[in-house]
Amino acid sequence: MIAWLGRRIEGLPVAAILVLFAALALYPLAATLPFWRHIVIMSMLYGAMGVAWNILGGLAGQVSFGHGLYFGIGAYTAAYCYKAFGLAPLLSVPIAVAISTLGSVLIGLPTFRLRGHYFVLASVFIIEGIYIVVSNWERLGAAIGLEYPVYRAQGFLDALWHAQFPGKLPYYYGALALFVLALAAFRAIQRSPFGMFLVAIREEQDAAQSLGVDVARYKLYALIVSAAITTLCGTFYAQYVLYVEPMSTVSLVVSLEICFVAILGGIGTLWGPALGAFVIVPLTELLRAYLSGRIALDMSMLAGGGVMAWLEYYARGGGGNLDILAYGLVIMLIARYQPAGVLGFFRRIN
Amino acid sequence: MIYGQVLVDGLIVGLMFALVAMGLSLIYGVMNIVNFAHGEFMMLAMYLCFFMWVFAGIDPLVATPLAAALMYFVGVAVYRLLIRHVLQATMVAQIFATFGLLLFIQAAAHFLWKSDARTIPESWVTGHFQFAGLFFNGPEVAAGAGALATAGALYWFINRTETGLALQAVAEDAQAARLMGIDSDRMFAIAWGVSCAAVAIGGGLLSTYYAITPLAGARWALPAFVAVAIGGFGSITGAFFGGLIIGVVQTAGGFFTSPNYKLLFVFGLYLVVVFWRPYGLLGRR
Amino acid sequence: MAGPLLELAGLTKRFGGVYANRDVSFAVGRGEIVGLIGPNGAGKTTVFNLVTGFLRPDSGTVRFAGAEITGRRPDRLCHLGVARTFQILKPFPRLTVEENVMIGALTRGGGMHHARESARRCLALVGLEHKRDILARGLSTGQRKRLEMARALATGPQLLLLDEITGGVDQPSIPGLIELVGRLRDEGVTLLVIEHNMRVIMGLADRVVFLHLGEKLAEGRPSEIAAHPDVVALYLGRRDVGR
Repeated sequence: MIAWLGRRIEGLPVAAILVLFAALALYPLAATLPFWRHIVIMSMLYGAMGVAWNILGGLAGQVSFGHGLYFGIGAYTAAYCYKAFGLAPLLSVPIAVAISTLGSVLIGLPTFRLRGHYFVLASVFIIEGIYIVVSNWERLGAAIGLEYPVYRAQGFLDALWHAQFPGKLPYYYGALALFVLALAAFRAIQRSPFGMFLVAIREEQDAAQSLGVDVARYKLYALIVSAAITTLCGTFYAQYVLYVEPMSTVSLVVSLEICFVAILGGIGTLWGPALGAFVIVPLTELLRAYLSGRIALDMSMLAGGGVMAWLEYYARGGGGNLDILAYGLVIMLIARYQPAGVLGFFRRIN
Repeated sequence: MIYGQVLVDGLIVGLMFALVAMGLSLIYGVMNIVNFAHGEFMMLAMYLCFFMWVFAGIDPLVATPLAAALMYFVGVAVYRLLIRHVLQATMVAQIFATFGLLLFIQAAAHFLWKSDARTIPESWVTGHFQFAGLFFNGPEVAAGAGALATAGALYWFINRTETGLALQAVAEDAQAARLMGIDSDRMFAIAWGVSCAAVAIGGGLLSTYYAITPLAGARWALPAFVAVAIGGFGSITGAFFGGLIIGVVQTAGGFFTSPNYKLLFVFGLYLVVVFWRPYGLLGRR
Repeated sequence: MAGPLLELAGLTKRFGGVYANRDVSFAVGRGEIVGLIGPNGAGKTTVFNLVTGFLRPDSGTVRFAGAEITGRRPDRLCHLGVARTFQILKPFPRLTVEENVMIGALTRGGGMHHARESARRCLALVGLEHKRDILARGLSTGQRKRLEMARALATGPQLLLLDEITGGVDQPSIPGLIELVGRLRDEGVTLLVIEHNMRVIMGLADRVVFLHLGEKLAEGRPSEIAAHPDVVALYLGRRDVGR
């Protein structure tokens, strides 16, 4: 009867996973301050996107630096439909997913014929191009973006219709749902013939094709699923921050953040990206909270202060971007030493 | 006349793209690695020139060769510490290696020097002049001419010197080159040094008029990748002409629509090229 | 069904200005083992790539079981019953041996459980069942060749193209591989085989096609080919004899 407890999912016993999710579900009881809830909401959101990215990048081996596009499609569709037509954000989800699927097909069909660097560069140029278009598109608010009118809901159903809630709790469980959805989708794919085909494509594309795998089709399916989940996350994000602009959605930076989560956690594994998000996002958010307001320090004040003033300046974050500095360093280390993500480093030591 | 001006402006910018692209293509040709961090070496050279000007009053034109010499060793060091260890790794690992380097250098520049734009307000080549009914900006012309000269030197180095020919042999077949007694590891290091030094010269020349920020290098390197693709990955001559083409496409695109959209034409060109001719407009399989 | 299983007519493929194949025509009958031989650069692997859809011929046709298949994609051809191995071996290195073979079985449908059983059968046939749980990158060259055969076999092919049975394999493993090819024929698979080792191909093939510089110079029973003056001059006259 308790045999099922002994089963493992990718190295973790089922019981441990149940405890983990129970802890996540109960966390808001312990953490009542909005900031602490916010950190976990963002971790789960990025976790979901990292896991979704991993379907394409980790299983199929197609490294996309352009997933911000699908995040942006989710965010902009919800914001635009709500502002322009008063459409309930939940109802705009199918529209957003349809657009994201169409986008996946239009981008995937030609780019999946490219191999290696050509593909990676195409993804960079496409997201940079889309960024230019969106930040000049008046209807979408150009570089300023779209801001939601604040809505004071009468009761839960009304709030759900407008997808605007007064507290963080409903968002928390929304993010948890996305997180679980992404993990479930990844695991279902990984254990299916579809997932096997993706891995075969990653390992040796020609051999896969000679064994009857329709390479272009399965890459495209992987992109569509990966993009759809990312799109859902985009819609969620728009409703959460109630403000959509290009830099925080359809930019290369956001696209890179999505794949950092997967890379640092360990690409191709089920739990890697999930864990990566829970390391990166809190660290980044805490670092930002610690450094906020101090970066503006004027360098001219340093001139007379001597070495100590400079040391203090850098200890307080210098000109900023300490988080990216760390990511860059860790990514180089991962590339050089080839573990499966940061977790892999520890596994190697053991 | 206006078309002539657009064409000339495009070619002058294109010379700089050409120089950046040639360094990229050199590394790709010799060891099949796309150096995403190429532009960051350019940016570092810009800052080097800036600080030499601020602290020692050295004109950027004098500082440029010094920066290039320094960047040669930075390139060799990057090869020895990082690239050498991913040569046999999967392509994904190679991409992460140079992309991680890009983020690291860019963020380090942010951290050390903030994102404020810095400029060198007066160098030996400031001012405008008019020639044959066309307007020229002194620093841009000087940068273009310097880029052309460097590109020529690079071409000479690859095709006329013993080291250059050894590099080509390694690019063709590293194992066969080893049998001929060529140390491919040393050649790879030289390729990185030369590539970084070349792009550093570009950076130094740009510092006479271009705003120096942590992102300045990436702005030049991103379109340069398109030039490399147009020329056929790995072809030095192809990269040169690819650079000229994107210079003109970018300038003309920006002129006839809006400067906001100029990069769209360059990115679009990449997609057209890789779908239509995956081995480049000028490249052969 | 009458007629040959595979029929090549006038296949021509150029790379740049060089002919890799020029007007190559021959046929493979059902249940036959046909050997494809020729010196390096003769265009043998190009024939394989043209037949299996990795390359598209400039002119000429390929017919399989009576239907024209020229230029169809490799995965489509696999579903029709054409499978191959690669000269430069292409295992899925970070999958287990069993998973490698499962990929071939899965493309025929039937789900994971069925594919696993089918993979085990194929592994037993090539004698690799004891290795099924190790990663493919841990196999020796001879074992990788067996793995590629098992994988191709799992797709249920009528025609199997083997690119180099013994190339790069240590001497003691060669008899086992030859015996395995015979077993594949007994399973009802038709075989087109590239092989460098003349002694191997002469003992194995029903018929031999000899290519030189992209063109077919001779075709016939192994004994005829061995006596053919062009072949003797170009190939057998050199060190390959008696290897």
